[in-house]
Amino acid sequence: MSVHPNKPSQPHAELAQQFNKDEDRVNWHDETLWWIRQKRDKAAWSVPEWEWLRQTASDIKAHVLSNMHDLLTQFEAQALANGAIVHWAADAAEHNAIVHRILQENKVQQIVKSKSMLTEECGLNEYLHEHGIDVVDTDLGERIVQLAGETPSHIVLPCIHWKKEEIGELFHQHLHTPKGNADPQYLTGAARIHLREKFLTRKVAITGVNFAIAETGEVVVCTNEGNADMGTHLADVHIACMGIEKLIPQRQHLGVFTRLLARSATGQPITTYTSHFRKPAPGRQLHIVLVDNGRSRQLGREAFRNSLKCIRCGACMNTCPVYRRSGGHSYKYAISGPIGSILAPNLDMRKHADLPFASTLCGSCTNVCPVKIDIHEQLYQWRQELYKEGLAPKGKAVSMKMAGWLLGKPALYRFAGKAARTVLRLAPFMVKNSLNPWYKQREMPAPPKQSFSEWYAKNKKA
Amino acid sequence: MSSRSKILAQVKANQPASVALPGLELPAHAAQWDALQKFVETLSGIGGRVIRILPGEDVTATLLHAFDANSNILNVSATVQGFQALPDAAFEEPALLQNVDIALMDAAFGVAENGAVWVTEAQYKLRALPFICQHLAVLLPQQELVAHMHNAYQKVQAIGQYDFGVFIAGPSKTADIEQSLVLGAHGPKTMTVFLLP
Amino acid sequence: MRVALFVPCYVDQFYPQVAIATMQVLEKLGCTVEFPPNQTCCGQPMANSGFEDQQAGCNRVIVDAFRGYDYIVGPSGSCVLHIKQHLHHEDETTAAQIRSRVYEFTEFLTDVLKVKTIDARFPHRVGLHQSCHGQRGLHLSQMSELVAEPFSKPEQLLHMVEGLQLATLDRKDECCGFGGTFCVFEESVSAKMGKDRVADHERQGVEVITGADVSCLMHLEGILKRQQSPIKVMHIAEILNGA
Repeated sequence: MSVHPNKPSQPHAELAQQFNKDEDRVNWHDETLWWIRQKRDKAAWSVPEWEWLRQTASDIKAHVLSNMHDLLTQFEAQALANGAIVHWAADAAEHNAIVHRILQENKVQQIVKSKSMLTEECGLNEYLHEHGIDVVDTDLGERIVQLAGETPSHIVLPCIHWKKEEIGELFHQHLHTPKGNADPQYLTGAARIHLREKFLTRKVAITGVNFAIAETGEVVVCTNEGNADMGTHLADVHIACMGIEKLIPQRQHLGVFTRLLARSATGQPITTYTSHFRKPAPGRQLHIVLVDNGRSRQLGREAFRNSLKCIRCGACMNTCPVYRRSGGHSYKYAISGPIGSILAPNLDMRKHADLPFASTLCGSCTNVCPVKIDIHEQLYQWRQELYKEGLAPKGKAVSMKMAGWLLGKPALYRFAGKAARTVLRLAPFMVKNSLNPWYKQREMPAPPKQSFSEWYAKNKKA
Repeated sequence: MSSRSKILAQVKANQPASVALPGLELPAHAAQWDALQKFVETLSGIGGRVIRILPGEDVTATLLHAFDANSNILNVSATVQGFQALPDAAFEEPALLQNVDIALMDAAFGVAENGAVWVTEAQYKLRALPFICQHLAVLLPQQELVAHMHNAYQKVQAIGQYDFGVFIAGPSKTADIEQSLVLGAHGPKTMTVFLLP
Repeated sequence: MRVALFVPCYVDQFYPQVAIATMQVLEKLGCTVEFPPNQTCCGQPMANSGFEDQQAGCNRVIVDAFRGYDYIVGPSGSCVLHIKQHLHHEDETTAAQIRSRVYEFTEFLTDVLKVKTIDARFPHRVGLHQSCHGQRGLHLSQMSELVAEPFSKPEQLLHMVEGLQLATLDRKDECCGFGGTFCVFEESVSAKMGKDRVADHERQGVEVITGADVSCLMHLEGILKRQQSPIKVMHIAEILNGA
């Protein structure tokens, strides 16, 4: 059975090590996500102007970030004119309280929710649960992890870490499907029946927002399953929760983003449903909750501002060789992988100080990003920031200071290098032991008798 | 200070100097397709069914032929007559539509690059209909195809304002269980587009 | 043409044969190669761990060592990239000059020397490891994520070697997991990434894994040796130097 939400105290490296205890499972996780990366590549190559699309999307978002104040007020005015009710939440707690208040006003205790990473970020499910509200996540993957008492391990593929046999067992326990049936078609059918009953009876539906258009005040929601639409159109009240960075200026800009989003996420040409909610249906309510929760602060951090361009496609996770081999839960944040590692420290630097180090800085994330966020460069910058704030691991700080000092002194360095090689040759047990993490699964390089400098001095110097 | 003022003030203080919007003119090397061929190919590739209706062909007969004879068809299309009409009670209680086998509606246009069709609430009357039905049937004049999403949004603008509009590309689907694609997640299990001459 | 040889610290200490081969290839191609003796490290281990300010000593050493050369060439893309991106000094004019004149070995051959033929023979099946900093940082090869014309400077050179058979990998530019201090602080993921890279080369039946970055090769070698694999690891300069 899969791991449950991890204790926040454990650093990424430890959780990743636990994940790696089952190597077959790591291989399976890695290959599944790599397959999605390949589908993404194929979809991108079907569009010769792909790189132009990425640049244009990035530029549109740069405009949004630099005009956010005016675009937000424009969006609000339009949304109000459309008959929506607009709420502003400074942080996660206020967001959760606003949603709860709307439910109380409507005397509702059972709701459906389609996928929204913002509500995961805010911990809405736990909050509402504590207040006696029953929330049913309706995205199949999210429902699976919810039944298991977990959080999603991937923003687009919430249960990518679950095997079908385990889902079969979970459904047997919760939905009373026959024991041992692990057929995806069958299990999806069972979930369809289970969730249809919820859609048909629940009066409030929460959704996330993929894009909010300042020009028209409408919100756009993309799904494949149709769960956002089934929820909202059958309910009396639709609550759309969005981070303030979800804005785009005009409807025509959707032409750029809808070409990029699904191709980047899963390799599909577009999601099955791209739903544009401008006005509430007659006699029904549309609430839009605009959430800051650290975004306006990130806007002011020049090195990290561009992280707000993210459209939550998950491509950086699928391509990340570390994510594929450590699993989403090792990041201990609603948004895992490379993008999560540059977003999370903005919210709580101390708590997420390990995340910018959970990367080799290989840069693949930056290259797949449909809005060209310089993810790996921001990971590097966060490392500098954490050090400045005194949040770097103590041992590391001491050893790096010593290394920096030594490497600034060529003569001393030559002496130390010789000493190290001598130790390796004469006393290999000093490094070839279980205290040396390198040596656990790798041999040390064979120490040559002569360094290049020594060779050069003997053979080349005139 | 309200959260609204607080957020807006902080945004204003922290946003960088204004960056101009980029142009949206496609580069010269952009993809070009035969719209009809690409649409059929793409929609079929994502699990949709395309049936081309030939000039002079009886649309109703083709429709009936395409589906199980026992299924009930709810028709909100202005192109063909007959079949069941949308019950008034459904506007109050859309859940009443849960037993609709096939919903038949007109689409404004289709998009070649991704097989999507654009439908608006004004056209099909009740928001929930294309999602709650078991199977979705769409009538689309084959000249109403655009190459890609940039053209699509130009067309959306030209058609005029909507309260709710949606691009639908194929049947509802999921691959959440071990990436195995299953058609028919929460919405329609199939989608058929009848291309009208 | 006065070329300074930049030999990163771990190459100096553990892989002298790579520096020797680099020097000899450059000399065969007509360069006057000098090795300024007082050099240590590019400073990357400190900077990538968040301690950018601790690389000041390295910067001083680099500026003193490489002042005034036409070109500075090193057999390690990662260290070269770090100098290109992060070398700063109170004598910023010299620092800027060095940043613009430092080249990774293969790009120096293809872009500056514009090498068309190489007198080398290597009758073996070879797998090329694309190091991330060389590839995504220095653009030694096109990156598989981009929708753009493919090219590869190291491959271009390997194709000039007589008898060399270049294998096609399943994942042509996945990271080996070295990542500097990542290899010890994230030991399990790092080692797993390295094992997976090695397995890809094994599936293609290669005899030798080569590359333009010694750090990645050191990582892969560590894994191959632990697995007692017959696959050898060689820097691309060693192959290009073999006649």
